[in-house]
Amino acid sequence: MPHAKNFLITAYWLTTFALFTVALVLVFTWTPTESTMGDVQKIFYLHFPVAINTFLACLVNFIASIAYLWTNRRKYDDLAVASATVGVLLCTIVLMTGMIWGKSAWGEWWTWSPRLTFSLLLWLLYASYLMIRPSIESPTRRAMVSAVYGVVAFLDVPLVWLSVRLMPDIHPNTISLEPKMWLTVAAFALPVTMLSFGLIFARYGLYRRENAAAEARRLDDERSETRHAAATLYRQGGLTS
Amino acid sequence: MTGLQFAIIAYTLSTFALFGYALRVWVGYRSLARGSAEIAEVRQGGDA
Repeated sequence: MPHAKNFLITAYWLTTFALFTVALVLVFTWTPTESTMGDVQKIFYLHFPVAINTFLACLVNFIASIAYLWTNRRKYDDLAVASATVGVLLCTIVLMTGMIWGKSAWGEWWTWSPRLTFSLLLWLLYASYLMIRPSIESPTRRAMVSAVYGVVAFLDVPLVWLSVRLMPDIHPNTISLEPKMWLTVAAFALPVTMLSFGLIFARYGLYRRENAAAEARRLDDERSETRHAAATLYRQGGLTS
Repeated sequence: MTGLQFAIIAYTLSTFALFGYALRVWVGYRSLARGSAEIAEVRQGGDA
């Protein structure tokens, strides 16, 4: 069974890598160039799916945080922190690709428009989530504080989504693309989603194993301390058997 | 810089970030497995 599981995991990652490579080739060789913005519009095919997956990672964090508050089970805290880590990574890519696109399309790296500001706020919220955790020593308290924080931080996601619809913004709102362009979006959406969820669950698995190893080490230390104390007592004649 | 150059930079950085993180997680699994094997070895030695 472990062999079959390892085979499936390897196949999943190889498929993701292959689909990502195919999508990259499609973007630069097959997809037509957009008439207004030119070649820089090609960034959209990665920027858009990564943005959607950022929201999905935040949603996983939100659901896992609620599940932790509901059940107090450690595994939900592990899932929440794994999704926050991947969410920060994806949000960094969204901001970076957006800035590169902005520099070419608008002539500046950054502008304080509602969509961009709320996106930066999203990055700051989840980066702070990851930075706050190590400062809390008790695992139970850390998980509880993180879960409450995760629920509150998620409120920024609808703000990012709705900002371009509710407020005047330089960021595009509606997109009109040729069928070939939509196919490229779909071709990128699949491996990016596979990659995002693969990373969340791989990181989650790693957290689970790290915690189990830490717990085993702690038990080992406790056992050897007890053994040492018993041996000392025995030598002093405090224990007879 | 041309639009194509901007696009190539964006794709290169993003690809490195995504697969770089995947590699980091993989290295995490490897080092954890190595650590567990070493602990098991030490325990076996101790028991013997």
